[in-house]
This record gives sequence, structure tokens and C-alpha cells, in this order.
Amino acid sequence: MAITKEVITYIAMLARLQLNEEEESSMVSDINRIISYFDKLKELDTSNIDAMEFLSMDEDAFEKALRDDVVDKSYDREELLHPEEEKGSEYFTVPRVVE
Amino acid sequence: MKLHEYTITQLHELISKKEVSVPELTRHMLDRISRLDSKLGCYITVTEEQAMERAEKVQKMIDEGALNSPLAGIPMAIKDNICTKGIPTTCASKMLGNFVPPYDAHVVKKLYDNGAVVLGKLNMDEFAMGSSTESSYFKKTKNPWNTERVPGGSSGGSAAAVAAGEAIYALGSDTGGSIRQPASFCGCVGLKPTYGLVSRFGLVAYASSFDQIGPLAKTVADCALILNAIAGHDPMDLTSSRRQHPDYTKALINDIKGMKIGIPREFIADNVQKDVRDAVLNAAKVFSSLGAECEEISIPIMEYVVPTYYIIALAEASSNLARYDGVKFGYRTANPKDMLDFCMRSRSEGFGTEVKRRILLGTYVLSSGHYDAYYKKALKARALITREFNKVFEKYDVIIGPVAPTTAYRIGEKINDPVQMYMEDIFTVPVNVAGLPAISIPCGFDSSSLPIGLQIIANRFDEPTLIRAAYTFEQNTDFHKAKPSIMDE
Repeated sequence: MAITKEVITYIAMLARLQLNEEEESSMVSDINRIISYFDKLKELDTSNIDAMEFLSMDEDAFEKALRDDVVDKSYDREELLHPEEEKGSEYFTVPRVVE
Repeated sequence: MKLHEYTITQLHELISKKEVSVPELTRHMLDRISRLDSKLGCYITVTEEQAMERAEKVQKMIDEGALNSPLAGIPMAIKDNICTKGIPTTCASKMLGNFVPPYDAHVVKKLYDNGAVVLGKLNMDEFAMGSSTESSYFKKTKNPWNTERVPGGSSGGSAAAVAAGEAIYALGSDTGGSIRQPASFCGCVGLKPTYGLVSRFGLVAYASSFDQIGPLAKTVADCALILNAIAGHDPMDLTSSRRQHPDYTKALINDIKGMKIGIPREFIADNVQKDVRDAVLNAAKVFSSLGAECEEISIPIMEYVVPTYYIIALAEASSNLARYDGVKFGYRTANPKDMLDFCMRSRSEGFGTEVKRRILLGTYVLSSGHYDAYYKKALKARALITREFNKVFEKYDVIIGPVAPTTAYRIGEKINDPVQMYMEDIFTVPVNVAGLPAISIPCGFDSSSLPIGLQIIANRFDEPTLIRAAYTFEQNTDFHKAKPSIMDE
């Protein structure tokens, strides 16, 4: 099944990307070629395979992987804020989201 | 011989005997960068002042006896997707063009502890997405052997800097071959460690279940020294292994008698450039003459490896790159209409074409209606691929083959054909899919005098066997001694 321009527009919306017309048409053709190459995988018999099997490759690596909650020094606020727009501010600044 | 031509091991001796000082060595490297880098484009950021300051400090610590690591005072550089506190970390993207990390990556901390002198940050494909370093937002890096050719990628700046003597060694990252393929194209040694051996804390995420940091250097011995410094458990990386790692320099043994080596016939098929195939078969002869048992084997699942790799890598990428919304860090659009416009325009203006293509593909394979057919299917295929490699390592100590089907190609030659570019990752991606360690070492030259890399792959956490095989090959051949003419400039 070919992936249409409408599908690409929808996927781009999900990915929060805006494409110009030139990008859109090249993406449609590239993505169709790449997805049809991915379709090769359909030939492979994967019945009775657990999709999460690879996670158990090295059990000891994941054992006790979670750290204890401990109080630690945090980053300096100024270093984390946007160097220009938020200079001297205490918050990240974004466009108004509540009318 | 000039200072930039020495290995870590040799420089360590010179520094210990006080035949050269760390500031002198660092100055030499910085002068070289300022003289040559406009031609090669290895660096995105050169940290001249910090490097000289650091060199003085490291020299003092060596003099006081407070530092005796073999890496102490050795000038090196870091791929620009590894966070360095106070030094821009751009990922070669407009998106992170103004990003200065407030912390050091685990590996960077480890290198500082060992007395490393950082010369700067190296060019790469944008967000490590590519195999030629052509997708960098800032510049194209040239291959030191022939400046009309690509250096490979995505760690192209790292490989070119090492090959041209603009850094004694470098760190790169390897998600699907990004250390090994540029090492092969530039004629240096590149090691991709077992998944989990080196902490990913502070590595800007591309595909988290494949990404791994590793060294690029002139020799196998140098790679072993660097791996000693950067390997080990880190509580900040959930996937970091807790096992004790051995001293990798103990594996620098020039003897492989009785070692069992498999050469998959899928690795030497017709899709491989003849010079490359001949060099790999010749390497097998070298191993046999040194007492190893080489046998042709078959890994039929190889034909499914590239789609499996790309589906998982791009799915993970689309999720990892969702964080770039213009709010907390990175590029931010001007005069947005509302929050959605703010986010969409920041992303669309900040990311380059290849990154957008990969985010779209990843979003597609994860989207409702396609998830089972692509993403879940690829996870199952990954399990089967891993099983097949496990089976091979029940009988063989290492696998050998080419790193890439070709040598370094011309700049611009393949950039417009993404499918072709993806397919050329065929010999490197299985290593990431199965979480294995692998190395690229020089094993010959093609008819245009471009270097060819030999790939050696070992079982998970069996870096000692990997290093031993690579070291033995290196000690019994001269390919690693050839240098590009720019080395003399």
C-alpha cells in the first residue's frame, strides 16, 4: 500500500513537524521506498517469539538498576534557562497556553 | 617523527621521561589544527584556551606525582554529541547550536580523571544520523587520504582528526557502525564496545538500545588503554553493566594459535567491492598462517538485519527527539502564534532533512495500525538475530568480515539516495542489534590508495578476545603504519 501525501501530512503532525512542499514531495517518495524495503521483514517467521526477549540478554545488568532516592545538589538555575530570552528570569517562558 | 605522529603509548613514555611537556605537546596539536582544519573540517569547536590551561594543570599534577595514567597529558577530542560542561555540544545540528551542557558525560569525567587534555569537539552527521558526515549543519569533513572523499560517519570528524594527526585519539559513538565505518574509511582503529560496557550518561540519545561510546585511535593498544579508562558501571545509566571489567591491556597478546574464526559467506558476497573482499580474504590467510582456524560459515538471517535495525533505530529516534520542543533547551523559533506553532516551527526550523526523514519514519512505524507490522515485528526479528549470533559464538571465538561494502566514496555521491545509504550499513548494524563488541582495523588499500578496514566481532563482553585477535593481526602486518600525506604537513 502506497503511503500518500495525506498520510505524510498526518504523520508529520503527530511528529510536530511542518514540511514545505518540496520537502513533502521528496519525503513521500523516499518514505515509500524505505517502507517497502522494511516490508521485507514480513517474510520472516517470528511466530512464538517474545518481542521483549532481547531485554533478557544480560540479566545482571538490569538487576538493582534503580538508584535509591537521595537528596543531591541540583543544577544552577541560570545555567538551565535560555541564555537570551530567559536571562534573569526564574522560569522557562513559552507562549500563553490558557486564555 | 613529529609529536602528532606518536601513539598514546609512545607519548606517555616521552612525557614520563620529561622529553616533552604537556603544554608543548598541546601547543603543537593546536597549531596543527589551526593550520590544517580549514582544509579538513574535523572540528566544530576548538577549545584552545581551556586546553592550554588544562595542559599546564595536568603537567603540574604529573610533576607532583598525582597523575600517572597512560592518558595523562594526551591531547584528544570528543564527538560533538557527548556532553562537555561549559563547552558547546551541538550534535552538528542547528537545533543544539546554542546548547552548552551544564554537566559532563560519564566518559568525559572519566577521561578528566585520567588527565586527558580536550582539544575540542568533532564534526559528525546531524544527531549521528548518517554514514558520511555530510548531514552536519555546520560543515562537511574531508577524508585525510583524499579530500574529495567522505570520511565516513557518523563519527567522521573523530576518524579524520585521528588519521590526520589533529588529535592523538578521539571518542566517537556507534549506533549502527558510526565508529567502525569512519575508522575503516580513514584508516584508523575504531572500537565499538559491548552494549552496556560504557555508560551512555551524557551521550545525546539517538537510538538508546543501540548507542554505545567508544575510542578511535592509531593502534589497538591505544584503544585498549582508552577502553580501560571509560568502561565500567555508572548508576546514572540504567543499562550500564555491573560486571567488573578486566584490564584490557592484558589482552595485548601477539598470539592467536588455536583461535576459531568464522567468516560469514554473507559478508563476502557480490555486493562487496572486489578490493575490499580480497583484503578481507587476505586477512583470513594471515590469521590462518598465524595458527588460527578460519572457516566459512553462514548467517542466513543477515538479509533481515538492515530493516530490523532501521525500524527499531528510527522508532527510538522519533521518541528520543520528541524532547526538542523549543522549551527547555535548543533552538527556539521567533514570534510564535501559539504553543503548537512554537513547538512545530522550532522543530521544523531546527532539524535538517535527514533527521526529519528519520523522525517521520519512526513515527510511522510506531503509529496505530502499523506498530505490530513494523516495530513489534522488528523486536521479534531482533531476538532471532541475537539467537543466531549466540549460536555462532558457541563454536567460534570471533567473526571477521568487511566493515563496509566499499571504501570511502566521493562527497555528494550517495547523499541523495537514502535507501542505498541505509543498505550499506549491512555489515555494521548486526553488531548493534545483538549488542556485540567489534573493532575496525586497517587491512589494506584499494586501487585508489584508500584504506580498507577489517571488522572483527566477538561475543558479548569478550573484548579481551577481540583485542587479542586485532592486536595479533596488527603486529603481523604493516597496514596500520601507512599514513596519509597530510600527516607530514
